[in-house]
Amino acid sequence: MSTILETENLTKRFGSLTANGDVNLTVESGTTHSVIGPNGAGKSTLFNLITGLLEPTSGSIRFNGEDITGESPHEVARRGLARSFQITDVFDGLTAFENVRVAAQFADDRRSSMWRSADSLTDAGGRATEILEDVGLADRSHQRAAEFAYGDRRKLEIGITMATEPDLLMLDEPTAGMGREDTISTVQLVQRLADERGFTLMLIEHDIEIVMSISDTITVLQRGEVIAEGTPDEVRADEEVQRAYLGGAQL
Amino acid sequence: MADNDSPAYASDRRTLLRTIGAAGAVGLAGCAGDDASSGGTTETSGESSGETSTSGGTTGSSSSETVKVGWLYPSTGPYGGLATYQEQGAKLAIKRINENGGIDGTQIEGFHEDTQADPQTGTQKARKLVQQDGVDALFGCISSSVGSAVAGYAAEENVPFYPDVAADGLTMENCQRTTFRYETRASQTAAAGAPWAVDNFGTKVWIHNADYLWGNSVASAWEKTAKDHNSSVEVVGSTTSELGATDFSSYISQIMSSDAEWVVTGLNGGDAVNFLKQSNSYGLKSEKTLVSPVNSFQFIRKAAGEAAQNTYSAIRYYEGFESDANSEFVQAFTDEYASAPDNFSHVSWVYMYLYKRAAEKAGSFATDDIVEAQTAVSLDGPMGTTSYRECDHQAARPYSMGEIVAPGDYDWPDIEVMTTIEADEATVPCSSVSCQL
Amino acid sequence: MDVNLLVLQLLNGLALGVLYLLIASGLSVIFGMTDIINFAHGALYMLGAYVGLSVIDATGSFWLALLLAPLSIGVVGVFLERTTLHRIYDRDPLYHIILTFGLTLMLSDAVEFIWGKSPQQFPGPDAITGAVALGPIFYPKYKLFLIVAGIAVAGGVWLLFEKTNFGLIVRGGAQSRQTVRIMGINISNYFTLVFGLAAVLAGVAGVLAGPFLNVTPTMGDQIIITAFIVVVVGGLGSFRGSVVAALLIGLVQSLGTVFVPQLTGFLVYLLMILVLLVRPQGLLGEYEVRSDSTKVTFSEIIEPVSITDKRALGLLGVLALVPLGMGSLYSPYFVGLLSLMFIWALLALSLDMVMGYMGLLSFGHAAFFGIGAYATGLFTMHVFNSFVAAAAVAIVVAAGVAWIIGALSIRLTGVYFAMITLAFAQMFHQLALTWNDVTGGSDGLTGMPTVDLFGAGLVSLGDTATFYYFALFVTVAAYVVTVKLLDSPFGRVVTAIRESERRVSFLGYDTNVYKRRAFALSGAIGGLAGALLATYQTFVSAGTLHWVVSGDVVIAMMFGGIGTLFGPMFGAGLFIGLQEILSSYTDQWRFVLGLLLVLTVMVAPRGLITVYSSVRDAVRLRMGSGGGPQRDAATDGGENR
Ligand SMILES: Nc1ncnc2c1ncn2[C@@H]1O[C@H](COP(=O)(O)OP(=O)(O)O)[C@@H](O)[C@H]1O
Ligand SMILES: [Mg+2]
Repeated sequence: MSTILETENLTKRFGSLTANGDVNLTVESGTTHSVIGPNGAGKSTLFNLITGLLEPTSGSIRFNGEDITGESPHEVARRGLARSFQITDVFDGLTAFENVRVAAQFADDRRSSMWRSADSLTDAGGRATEILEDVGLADRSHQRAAEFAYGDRRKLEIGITMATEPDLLMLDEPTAGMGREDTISTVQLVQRLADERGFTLMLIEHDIEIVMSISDTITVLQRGEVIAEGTPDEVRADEEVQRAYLGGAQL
Repeated sequence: MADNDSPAYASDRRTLLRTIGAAGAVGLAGCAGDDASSGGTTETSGESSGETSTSGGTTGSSSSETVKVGWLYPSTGPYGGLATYQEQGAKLAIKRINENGGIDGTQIEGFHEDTQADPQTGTQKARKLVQQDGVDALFGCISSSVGSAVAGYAAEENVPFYPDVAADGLTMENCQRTTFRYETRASQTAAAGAPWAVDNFGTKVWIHNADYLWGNSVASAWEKTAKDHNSSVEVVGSTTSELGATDFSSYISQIMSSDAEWVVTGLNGGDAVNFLKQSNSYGLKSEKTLVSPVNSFQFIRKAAGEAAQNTYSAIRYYEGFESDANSEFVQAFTDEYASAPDNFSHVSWVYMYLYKRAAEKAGSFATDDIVEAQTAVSLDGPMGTTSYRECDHQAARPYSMGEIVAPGDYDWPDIEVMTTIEADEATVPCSSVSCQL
Repeated sequence: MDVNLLVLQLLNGLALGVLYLLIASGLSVIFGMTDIINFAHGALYMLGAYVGLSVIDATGSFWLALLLAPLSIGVVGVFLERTTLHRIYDRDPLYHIILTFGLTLMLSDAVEFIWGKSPQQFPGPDAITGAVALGPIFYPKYKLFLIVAGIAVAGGVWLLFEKTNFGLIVRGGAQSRQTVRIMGINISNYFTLVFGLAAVLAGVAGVLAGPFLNVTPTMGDQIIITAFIVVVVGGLGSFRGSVVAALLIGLVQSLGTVFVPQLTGFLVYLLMILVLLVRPQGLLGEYEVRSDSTKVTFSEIIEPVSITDKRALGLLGVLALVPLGMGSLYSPYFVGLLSLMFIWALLALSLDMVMGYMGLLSFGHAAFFGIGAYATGLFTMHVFNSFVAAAAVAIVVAAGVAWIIGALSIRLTGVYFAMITLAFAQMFHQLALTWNDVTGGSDGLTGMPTVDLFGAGLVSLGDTATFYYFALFVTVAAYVVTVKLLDSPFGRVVTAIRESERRVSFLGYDTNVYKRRAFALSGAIGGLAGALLATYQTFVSAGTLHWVVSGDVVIAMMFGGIGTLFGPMFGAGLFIGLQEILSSYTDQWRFVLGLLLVLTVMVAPRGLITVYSSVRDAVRLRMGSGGGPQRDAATDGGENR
């Protein structure tokens, strides 16, 4: 197993607030790695730092062995790192198909050609159809994303991120606001796709049970700092985690 | 002159022109005494009107029984206030001329458009007037940029154009065969005002103007005229504001802190009013003498009120000017609109009569005939006798310099004439005009 | 430099700043609360002055006017808000801009109708006329009063917002409507109140300005732009920011006229550009503008009509026949007017590309139009009289300028982008006005030849019918190319950027490259439109570069149907045609136009092209629910960057 992502003393301060303090994190290729922690712990900030949305105050990020610190989002994305957002970010005014197709188009050399129809990039179209089937939206591919229910928009976003064929997919609370059933099916979907397509998965997830059942590794953040990292069992056993995050309750 | 109303005559323009042409000069002169048919404007061409009939061949682009004239007013925009007077003058003149037999029996049909004081809109409207309405001549404007744009278009279309614009260029470097200006050239009022101001107020002058064609014309004309008059004249400072500026405080402050003895402002319309009002509140009047080429406009005197009093201005026209033609004009205007006319009403009025005179002389409304006849006629207008020069198609009249004083006959400040110069003196000789037509 | 002059200028700057503050503070509170850019604010200010004037005429008391006029303007404001804006808060801000612009047209025209066009004298209070000695200098008493009164009013507003319950709720609403709603407060009533309050402030400003400035129907037109600049420089929605910016801009203007007179017209715009580039949120901007508050969103996808569509071919067929009837059925003027409509359609097409498709609110398209026109004029006059060559130059120059403006402004979005493009365009306008030797200054570029198509004297574009066919050809060709372009992979990315730029960049696309390129392409089409305009008019005026032109295209675009390419073209043509025709028939054409705009926004949000279906739906539902997009997504500080 090789390391796909590594952060070293990653720190982000907003004024006097340290949203991430010396975060050292290692994600192994092909695993499912979850980040948990109470609200405001700095999970989203961590994702934002890794994906270039925010500039770290200090520390460094390595992806596939290369330093990507300070790169902008599109540069990071080109390296094979895709993400979703805590608040769904899809192209509301476009059809589901076009949402995914634009993402798939990036892999084509002719992605910014001006003189041919986008529909002539058949590869991208084909993959978009495939992915929509994968995420279960194939039958509504010509509806605008804005018309979709909450859960379907989340699925669509996952579809979009996958269409870029990432090596590492980072999902920020992909199931937030979903019912239990939806949550489970969504997570299962993502994991199945990760297996099939061979990408590494990094998740922020609130549902501890699910996290425990699907993760290979779990990182626990609190007040911006990593208080534990390890397998589900190790984390479950960690006293500090129990005390701080889980209020002493047995997992 | 009941004949004129006979449709039989009106149906045949040539016959009509011949008949009326012969009777016209006598008839009109006769009418002038017993009613206001001449509209306060006595025609003084010494030439026999009979001649017209022989040259009255074609009747121009208009084949109907009317002659169509197109008027352009800046009704919306910064000159909206002036436009009202202008439009009133034009409409009154048309009405008067029509009531008194038209132009040799041909009734005038007026078409009126709003340029919005914008040269693009202005030319577009001129285009409409010429191409759609088929007018035989264009009149008006006010804003110098609109005027020069329309002048270009009129020349292209070969339509006579009578601009109510004062910027020098129109009858100087940008003169056109088809442009005939009665409205005062900026340098003409400078000739009336600048030397007198130097003699009376001193040699230290501040020049402020709105930064556009006319404003810049005023600035350079006053400076040149003043310096030509007295070589020790010194421009101690000059400032420009944007056209349509509302706040003149900064300029007023600069003028107050200078050692200028008098100030001349190239500001018109709302700009002039604002400047006067604000100067008044700063007490500028008590420190420096304010001089303007246009503050004598009734519009400005009305709007600025007390703030305009005790300032000096060149006079293009004012309602109190004493001449028979003017009393009749003022009377006619007051009867129609229940208020006294302004410079722009007077220019519109004079233009219609000048055009009438040329058409009668030419016996035709065709542009080439009008162009030829226009410089050969003269008119006893409200401000005196006037005619166009061959060389630049600029007309002149006597100009005065006056002080704006407390209200007299009307509710708004009156004018006291201080000095008057003759038309010849006010106009640079043809030899030194860059335009040669 | 003279100390007295310096003191005078400082006082002048202060007085000017206070006036700006009074106007800007109203804009600022409305924006802070509702995200609405209220164009009608300038008209309310003007109305305030006129109502004040009438009160003085009737009672002779300035003080009564200062009391009654603002109150009546407040009532007018509440009425306008309730009848129009209130019903469309859920729409995109663009619609609010168009709506308030329509209201502005109606208000100014109504004032002109009632009070006349002439400037009016506004007598100040007797007690404070004349000047007072301040040491060695004299200063108008009234202006000192203006400074004190303005500061007092602004202070009062500040107290109202900081220290009262009302202020608390309004500020809460500005931060998060959700929160306030949860507190069980009907926030929309507060919108009305805030709007009314802002109108009162506008009225106060109008009456206070009356004795000092000219009272004219156009007095609000210029000051509203300066007020926008104040609000943006200070920080959108920040009251304190507005105070600082208003005073700063007042001082910059008044000192600038003395120290750098040649920069007078540029300074304010330069200042705004500088602030936007260095600190986009404004000097004291406290919060970021809600990211969804300036988005261009659509409730349905309307594809551009293909040129091979029956309707399109039919229309082209009819248009192709038009010149045949010239002289018999209608005059050449009519044919010329149609050509002009094509030119505007082309400009609207260019704007729709960046605004409707990429979602960038460009309020500076006049720049490309004007640059194209000047380039063509200068080229045909001084280099070679060939449209093809001149237009090529015009296109390259306009595209280059667009690229540079795009590159500088690319970090900005929404209102900020609108303001910076406006500022750039205004700089070009100033340049055209002041660079007399090249542009002919305010006189415009005269002496242009009748343009020849190739330069060989073969095809003269001075001929009405020839020009008509040529303009039609160019417009249709540009449409076809643009449709194709937007259907290309590049175009699809551009469209996706409109929906979510962040999302696009996380797919790997360098969005800035796309934005710059699309902006330059749009500039090129704008330049081409300008080239045609210069050829049509055979002269160019600085007015082509004025912000009003930019505003007109935006309005025309919305009028027709933003984001459909053909809708804006249709709208622009109609807008120009209507203006032209209405203004020949009635002096009150602005009112009619304004009313049309307001009705279109209210009834057919997607523009004229949807009027039929919108009206039909409305009749079916017996009410127009609008069907606007949802803008209520919860916000999360950490995620909305
Ligand atoms: N852009 C920002 N500016 C200021 N503070 C921020 C910003 N983003 C996040 N924060 C703060 O950083 C802390 C961590 O936030 P976040 O990473 O969103 O937490 P989590 O995702 O774990 O709930 C919070 O206190 C949040 O308010
Ligand atoms: Mg989070």
